[in-house]
Amino acid sequence: MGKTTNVVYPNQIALLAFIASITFKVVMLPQYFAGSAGRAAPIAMAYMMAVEVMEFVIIYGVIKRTSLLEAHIPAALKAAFILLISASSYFKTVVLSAEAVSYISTTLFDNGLWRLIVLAYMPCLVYISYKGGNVLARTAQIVFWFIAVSLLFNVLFAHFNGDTGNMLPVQFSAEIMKACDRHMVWFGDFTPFLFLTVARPAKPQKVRLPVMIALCFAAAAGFMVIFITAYGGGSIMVSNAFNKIAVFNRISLLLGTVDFPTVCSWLMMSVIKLALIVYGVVEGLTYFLKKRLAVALLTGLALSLTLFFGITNMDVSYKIATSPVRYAVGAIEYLLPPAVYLAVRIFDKTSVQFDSTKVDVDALREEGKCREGKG
Amino acid sequence: MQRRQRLKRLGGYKWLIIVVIAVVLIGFDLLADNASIVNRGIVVGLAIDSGGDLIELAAQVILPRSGGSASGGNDFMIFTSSGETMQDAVEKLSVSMGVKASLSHCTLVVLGGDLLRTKGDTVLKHLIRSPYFADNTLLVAASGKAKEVLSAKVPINDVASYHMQRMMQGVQREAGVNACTIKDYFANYYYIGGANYMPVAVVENCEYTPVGPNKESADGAQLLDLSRTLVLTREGYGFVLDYDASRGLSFVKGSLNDGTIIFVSDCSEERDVVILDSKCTLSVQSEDEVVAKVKVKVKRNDLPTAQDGMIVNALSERERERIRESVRGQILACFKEGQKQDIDIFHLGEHIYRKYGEEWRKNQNKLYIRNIAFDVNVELTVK
Repeated sequence: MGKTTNVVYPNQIALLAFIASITFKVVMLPQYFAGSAGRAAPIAMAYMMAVEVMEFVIIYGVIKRTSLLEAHIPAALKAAFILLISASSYFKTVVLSAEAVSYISTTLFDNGLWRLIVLAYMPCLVYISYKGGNVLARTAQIVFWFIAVSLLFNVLFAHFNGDTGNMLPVQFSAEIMKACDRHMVWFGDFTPFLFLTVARPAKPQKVRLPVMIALCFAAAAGFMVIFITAYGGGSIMVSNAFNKIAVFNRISLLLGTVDFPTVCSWLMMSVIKLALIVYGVVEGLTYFLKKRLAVALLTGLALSLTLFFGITNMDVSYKIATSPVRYAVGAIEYLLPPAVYLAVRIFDKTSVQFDSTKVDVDALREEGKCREGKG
Repeated sequence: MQRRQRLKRLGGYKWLIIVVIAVVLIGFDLLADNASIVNRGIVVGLAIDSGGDLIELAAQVILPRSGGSASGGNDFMIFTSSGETMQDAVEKLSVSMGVKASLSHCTLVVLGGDLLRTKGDTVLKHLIRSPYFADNTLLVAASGKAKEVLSAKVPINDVASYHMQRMMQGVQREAGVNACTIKDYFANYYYIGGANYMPVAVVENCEYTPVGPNKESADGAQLLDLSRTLVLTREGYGFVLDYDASRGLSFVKGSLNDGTIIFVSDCSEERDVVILDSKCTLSVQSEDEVVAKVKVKVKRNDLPTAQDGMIVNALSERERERIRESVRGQILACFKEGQKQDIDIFHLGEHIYRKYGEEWRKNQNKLYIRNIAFDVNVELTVK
C-alpha cells in the first residue's frame, strides 16, 4: 500500500466540505425539521448552516497553519482533542450510516437487506479512510462531476409545483431553537478536517473555497425552502426528501419514479461523507495505536457490529441521535475547533499561516511541504 | 514466504482484495430480492375498496414479456387481493399475481366510497409513507366500488387508469376536473381546516360502434365522468360537490387551459366561450374577508356575423358581464356548499393565517368559516 498523506489542496477541501456538509441534510433531516419547526424549518436550517460555516472558518484557520496531528501543543491536550474527535466521529458514523443504509434499502432494492448493505458499504469506507485524507480528497474530486451533473440535470428539468406561501407566516418562535437543539448531530461535520493540512501548491492557484462554502449554505437552506414550498405541512410525512424532490418524480406521467441519477449521485456523496468521518476515527486511533491497517479493520468491524446489533431500524437511530449524547457530540463539534485554534496559536509558535496564491516555492521545497502539480 | 512472493508477482494483496470485494458484491446482488423485469407485474392503477374488516385491492397490471415489444407487446390484466392492512394486501397482491407487484409506476389510485368513509385516512397515510408510490400519483374517489372504475371498458384506451390519468393530467387542464395527487392531498391536509378534494369517478354505459379489424366485438363501452368532486376533511368523507360547484373549485384551486363557459347571448341564446387560461389568487382583505381574484382568458367560439353590413366578432359588454357572472356564480356556489357543511374548501383560513399569524388563529375555532365573508372578482380577457 502507498504512503498515507493528509495533505490536501484548498480546492479539494472545498469539494470535500461541500459534500460533507450537504449529504445528510437533504434526506431525513428536512422531515425531522419540518416536524419540529414546521413552516419555520428553513430558518432553522439557515441558522444551523451559519453556525456550521463559522465552524469551518475556524477549522480552516487551524489547518492553514498545521494539522492537529503535527501541531506542537502539549501532548496530553493533543491526545484529548484527538480522542474526542474520534469518539464524536464514531457516534456520527453510526447514526448517519443507518440513514444511508435505510436510503439504499428503500431506493435501490425492494426490501433490501440492511446487513448486506452494511457489508457492501464498510469495505469501501474502511479502504478510503485507511488510505488517508489525500485519497479521500482525490475521490471527492473524481465523483464531484457526476454529482454536479446530476444535480444540474435536476435543476434544469425540474417541473416545480409548489406554493411559496407554505412558508408564511415567518415567525421566529422557540420551535426553531428546539429543532436546532434536537437535531444538532446532523450539523458540525468538519472536525475530521483537523487531521488534514492544506497543501502549499508549487504554482499559485485560485482558491474557490469561499464560493463553495457560500454555495453549501445556499444549497442546504435552498433545499429546505423548496421542500417546504412543495410539501407544506405534508413535509412531516415525507421521509426521503432528496428522492422525492428528484426530477422524474415531478415530470413523469407514465414512467413513475425514475430517479436513478439522484439515487446514484447521493450514493457517491454518502460514501465520501461517511469515509470522511470514518477517517476521523481511523486517523485519531492510529495516533494512539500506531498500526493503521489494524485500526482501520477494527474500526470497520466495530462499526459493522454496532450497525448489525445496535441499530435495528431508523427509529432506534433517531432515538440515539436525539438522546442526551447529542450534547456531548455538539460540544465536541462546536467547541473543540475554537479550542484547537487557541491551542495552536498559543503553543505552536512554528506554525505560520500561508497564502496559496503567494508561494515561496523554493523555501517550501526545502521544508518538504510542497507538492507539485495542480490541485 | 514463497506464497508471498508469488502473490507479489501477481500484483500483491491489492488485487486480491479487489477480487474478493468484487465477488462478495456480486454475491450480495444475488442474495438481495432483485426480481428481473419479466418477473414483475407493473401496476399502473390500483383500486382500493373496503370489504368489511379487510382492505381489498384490484390492480391493473402490465405483465412484461421477455423480449419487450418486439415479442408482441405486453398484457394488461386486473389482479385482486385482500388483507387486514394495506401492506398485507400489497404483499398478497404479489402472491395472487405470481410475480412481484411493482408499484413505482402506479399513476392512479382509485378509492372506493365505503373505504373513504371508514379507513380512508389510514390508507392515504400509507400511500405517502410507502417508498413505492410516487408523490405525483393521482387520487380518484369512486362513486361506488373502486374496482368497477378500474375495470371500466373505455373506448379510446383499453386501460381505464391511463384514460383517467390523461383526463386529469394530460396536456389540457379542463374546468371542473379537480385533479389531486398524493402530494397535493397531504399539503392540503395540513392546511388550516384541512379540507381536501379529489374527483369522483362515475362509470356510465355508452353507445359505441367499433371501427376497424375488431368491429365484430361490439361489447359496448363505458365512459368515465370526473366532473364532480368529493370534498374530504381530516375527519374523513365530507360531501360531493355538484357539477357547477366543482367547476367553481377548479377556477379557484386550479390553473386551467381548457373547458367552456356557457352564457346567454344578447339574442337570448345559449352560447359558450373556450377557456384559454385561468388563474386565481386569493387576496386577504381583513381578518374575516377574502376576495378571489380570477383572471380568465377566453376565446369566442362563434363564427363572425354580419350586422348592418359590418362583420361583428366581439362580445358585447352585457355578454362579458354574463360570462363573469357565470364564473363568479360557480365559485360562490362552491364556497356556499362548503360553508353550509362548515368546511373551508378554498383554504381561506390558511391564507388569513399566512397574513395575520397566530394572533388570528388563537381566536378561532373549527367553525371559523362561518364568519368569513367571501367575494369573487373576475377579470375577463377575450382573445
